[in-house]
Amino acid sequence: MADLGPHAAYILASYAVAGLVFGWMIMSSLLANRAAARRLAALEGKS
Amino acid sequence: METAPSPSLWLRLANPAAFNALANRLLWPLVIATIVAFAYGLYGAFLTSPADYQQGETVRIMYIHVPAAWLSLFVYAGMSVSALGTLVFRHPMADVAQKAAAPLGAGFTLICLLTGSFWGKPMWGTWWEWDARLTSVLILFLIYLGIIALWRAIDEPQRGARAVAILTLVGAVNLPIIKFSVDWWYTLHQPASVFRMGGPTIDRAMLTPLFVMGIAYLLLYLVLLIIRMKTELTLRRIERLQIVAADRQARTTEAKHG
Repeated sequence: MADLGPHAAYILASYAVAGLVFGWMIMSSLLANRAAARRLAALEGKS
Repeated sequence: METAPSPSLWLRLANPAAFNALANRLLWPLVIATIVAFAYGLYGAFLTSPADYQQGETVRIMYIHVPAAWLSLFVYAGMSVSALGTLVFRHPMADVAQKAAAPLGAGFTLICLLTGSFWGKPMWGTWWEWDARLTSVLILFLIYLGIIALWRAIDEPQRGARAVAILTLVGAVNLPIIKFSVDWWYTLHQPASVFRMGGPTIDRAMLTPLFVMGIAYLLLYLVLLIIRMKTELTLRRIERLQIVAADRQARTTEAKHG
């Protein structure tokens, strides 16, 4: 890996926050999808 | 004997079952393509891209900042097309797409603002400057939040879709302001260096990983958009089933007492 020089902390922090926001985008999408699928399965099981 | 003409893709996608079938076919290839694009893009960003002669190693922030800026505008432009689809063509999937896209657009804009700040501190000596480009992108982020809030405030999906579509189209005026802010006003932010008349001013060694990261962001957006649209369709089906169940229960009660 390249030597990131005197501003390494800024570079790594920017990748870290981008990773966190991506993580939120991915997890919120997957969890909402799973919760909706479970609710639908429960409802269809009742009727 | 004449056969009925097969409906266009536009019409076929109005059917949620047809959309789900197409989405299921596309999802995994898109997931794999996203992972490959991110791996190749990050490899280029950290290992093959040289340091910039002015910015030094800080140029590596560009590979996550610039594609986020592209996507923040692209997603909003797509939402504006969906808004027209809702208001003018009344396509049933238009508001589903728009509702699914808004949080993703907000996410890309937030990445753009935060990574820009981390670039600005070592390069400009400040985390934030109220110049035209930065302020107009912040306004875009606030518009995204307003759209998400409006969706949540109105329970009835069709009324909500029309209100959100109007707000989205009003907010679209901000897109050319963001794009041309660096030309119209004196700003700290540098002018366009990739999509400009006369071609990019960035060296090919930096341009290639930048475009690969742009493709990776776009693919991730498509994957998440499909998942969120499928979720929204499921939630609408749940709502319809609950209404049918409540109606059935009301009729049973009425029959018993009447």
